[in-house]
Amino acid sequence: MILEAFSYNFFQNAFISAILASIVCGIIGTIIVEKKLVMMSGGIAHTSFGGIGLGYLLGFEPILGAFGFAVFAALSISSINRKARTNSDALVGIFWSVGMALGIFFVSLMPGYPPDMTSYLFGDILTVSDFSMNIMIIANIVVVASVVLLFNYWKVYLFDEEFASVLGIPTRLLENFLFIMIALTIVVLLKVVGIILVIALLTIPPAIAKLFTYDLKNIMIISSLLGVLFTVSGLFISYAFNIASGATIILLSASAYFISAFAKGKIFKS
Amino acid sequence: MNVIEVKDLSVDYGPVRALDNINLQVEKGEFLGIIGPNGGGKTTLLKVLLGLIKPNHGEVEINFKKPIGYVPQFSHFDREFPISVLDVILLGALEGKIKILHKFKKDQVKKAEEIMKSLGILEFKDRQISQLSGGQLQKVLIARALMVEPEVMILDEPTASLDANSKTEIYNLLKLLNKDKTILVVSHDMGVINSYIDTVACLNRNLHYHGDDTKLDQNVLEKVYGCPVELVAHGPTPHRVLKIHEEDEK
Repeated sequence: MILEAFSYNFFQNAFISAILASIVCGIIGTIIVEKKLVMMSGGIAHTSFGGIGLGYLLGFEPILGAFGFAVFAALSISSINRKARTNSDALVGIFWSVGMALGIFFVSLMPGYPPDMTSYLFGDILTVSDFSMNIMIIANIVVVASVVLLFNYWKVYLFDEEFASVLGIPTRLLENFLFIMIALTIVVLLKVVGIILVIALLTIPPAIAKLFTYDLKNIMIISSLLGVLFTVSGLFISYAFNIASGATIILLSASAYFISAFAKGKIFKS
Repeated sequence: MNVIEVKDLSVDYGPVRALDNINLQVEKGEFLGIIGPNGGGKTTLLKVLLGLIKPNHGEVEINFKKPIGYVPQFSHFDREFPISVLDVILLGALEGKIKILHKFKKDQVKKAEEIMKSLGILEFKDRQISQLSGGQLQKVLIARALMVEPEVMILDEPTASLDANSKTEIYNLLKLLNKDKTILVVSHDMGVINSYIDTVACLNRNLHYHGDDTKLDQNVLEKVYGCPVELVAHGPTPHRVLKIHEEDEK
């Protein structure tokens, strides 16, 4: 049955996108966990819903709208933060809910039946379009290349941004670039696990990897491999039992986390 | 020769003035202790010198080879960050200009190991930083700053929350480094700092500074310490009131 599934174009797309999504997710997930940008990323993800709504309303590809809104949210939150020295927590919360509200608002302005947006909220890896696949490929090239080519600079930026600035490294540039990559990653993950479940897929693999290594590069690699494991097995389960892919992937990942944390605790206690 | 010259410097955070009209000269080879109460603007001054904060008024003249060897407060670090001691120290060898596919060279690794050896932390080379004591982590951060080959080092509370032995050890180390480097230390550990520094700057929004010609003897020290010590003390003391009067008269 599983081999037969590969003969379908939609399943091939799903399989490739599971792998592509996992790679960016492992890398960017590690960065947002270490830079404490998890809530910020949640805010960016939810703001992108506004762009999806706008895409439906004006008739362009919703994914592009999502990317635009995500980049806008990321750069605005960071620049308002820097200028106003306000509590970014509250600011993230505002973007979070306003983005969602805008999405619903735009869609309700549409004449006729509103489109079904649940696949963006909860993900549906079995319906990934060729267009989304292309975006995923671009995202992978951008993220992998920038992290590999500038690895030491990312490391110093993540570990000690102030020290990096004192050395004369353009940290503001790195920061803005990072936010664009986060936005890109979130857009890539929308179709796989959806807006609401994105954070789990970004944070769980690095959390597991950190149980076994304290090397930044290894955490990124292990996270990506774990992501592949979770999304691909989630995909098969989802296909075989007709369960929503996003939920399956997240529940698999979370179970793996608890099992490995428990196992590690057991081994090291005895 | 003055390596740092601060002229009429003021910094505001919104309506709050953190530093007011600061003038300060740091001589080459000086060991300067910047002391003062919490919220007195010590960290702000330090960040201006490092170029991390732009002043609202005034200017800072820098007459030495950058970058500064900066040693931040180690207690503010995320100790869980996945990085080894050697990697932390090597990052000090990065240059501001970004190089694609940058790799640390063999002689940079060798230099890092030599610095670690001289600071007595070579055995921790491969440890993750959470496996270090406070004093050991402080030495790692000093080693990282030394990788920069700085002419001037700036340290923010290098001995805060360290035990007495580690404090002495760190200051002895700084005294040694002072042989060929200008050193600025922000601290509120006045008891330890006074036997090592050449000059002291007391900062509490304004600057009470004893400049280059006043090498500290015990009397001067008493006098100078009078201000911050009293200012740190709880509640308004007669001394503090007097200090404020003096400023008003200006």
